[in-house]
Amino acid sequence: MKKNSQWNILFLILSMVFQSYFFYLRGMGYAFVYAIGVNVEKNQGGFPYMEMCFMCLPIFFILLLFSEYYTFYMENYGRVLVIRNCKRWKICMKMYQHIVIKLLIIVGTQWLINFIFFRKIFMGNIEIVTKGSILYFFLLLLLALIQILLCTFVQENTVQIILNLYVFLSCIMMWFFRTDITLLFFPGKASLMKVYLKEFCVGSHFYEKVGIDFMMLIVIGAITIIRYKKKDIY
Amino acid sequence: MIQLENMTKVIKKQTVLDDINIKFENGKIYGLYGPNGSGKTMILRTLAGLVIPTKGNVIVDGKVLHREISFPPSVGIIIENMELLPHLTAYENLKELARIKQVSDESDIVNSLQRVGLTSEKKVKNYSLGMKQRLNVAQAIFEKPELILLDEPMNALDEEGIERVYKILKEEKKRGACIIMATHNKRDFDEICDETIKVNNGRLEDVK
Repeated sequence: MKKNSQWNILFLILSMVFQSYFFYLRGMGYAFVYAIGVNVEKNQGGFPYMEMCFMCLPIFFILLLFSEYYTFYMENYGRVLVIRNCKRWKICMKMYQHIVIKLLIIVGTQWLINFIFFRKIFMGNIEIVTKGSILYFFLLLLLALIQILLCTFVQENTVQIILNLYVFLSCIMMWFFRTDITLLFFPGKASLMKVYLKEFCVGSHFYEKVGIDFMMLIVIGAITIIRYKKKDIY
Repeated sequence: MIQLENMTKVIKKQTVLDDINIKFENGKIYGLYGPNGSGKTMILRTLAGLVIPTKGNVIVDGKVLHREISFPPSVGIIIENMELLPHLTAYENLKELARIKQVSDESDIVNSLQRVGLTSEKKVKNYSLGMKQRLNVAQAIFEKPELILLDEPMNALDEEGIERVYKILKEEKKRGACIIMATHNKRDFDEICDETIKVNNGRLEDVK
């Protein structure tokens, strides 16, 4: 086994332990602690962004999605397309399209589980659960796209290690402070954009967050395509 | 005609191709051989336009790659780790690829699949390694490219498959294509190659 993979697995396991503990505390009494969806009971006052972050830790699904689609579209099948002068943004879009579909299935499944097993809460809070699911979807998509972008700079394995380390440190921070500290740096950076986006995202907190996520997706997507254009495909 | 002119490629401070000068002409089959990691595949990738030379030029029919053109205008490749869409059949895969350049029609697709002996209606994900390699060959030739770059094209093929690929490559040569293949198999050189080129430590050592 490659050394990189061993580190990757170590961080993955550690992240999963922290995630389990988090869900054990938050989802006590729930039949499916990993699929509780947005825990509305504990978040009446606002949007459960922190919970959403934790729900996509240790990015297990994303790692699977990512390893499959990045290598396939940007390298293996990508080569067959680029030598035929297929536009690289089209190749990126094909990859994003597959990722979006898979993420929609993941989020949809959680939505359905909420509907089936927590119907009372679900029906009473349908708006917040739906909005939460949308935010969760964007969050997952953002994570996937960030990984893809990082992969245009360093090797795939290294990216996975960096992200797992990042997620692991975030868990530690959350554990240590027990406050509203969100994932390290990326929501923090995102909040800077609020100033610029406020005028465009008039309305509630939700639309503001969706707006920021959406803008970030576009920016990250654009940078990825530019990077991909310049990169040698070995 | 495709030409490498004083071509050097450096990756992470390591020179993987060192001052390569060679011309490849149409209507010929060239065989690259050499130990693992000698630079054979890197030469093929550079010729395909997948790798940008650190120094020197790749010239395709008088046009400089990456300056005047992004990729050779008419090229078919088999390069390691190549994959096609697993949820489609061989025919559907080639049809999907044909939509990009639109230089081939349905008969070209069917014909190339017949030539490699692939008539299966199965989806690619259910293919054996040998069937995948046959499909790779079909993918490389179905648009009748002028330049065909093949990295170990006989890998995973059975005897019948190898004979078919030999026949195909001879036909493609007759059509006027320039075929460059990296191989370890001496039989490939004896059977079909017009010229053989030894690659060692990123340099061309012996051209026959």
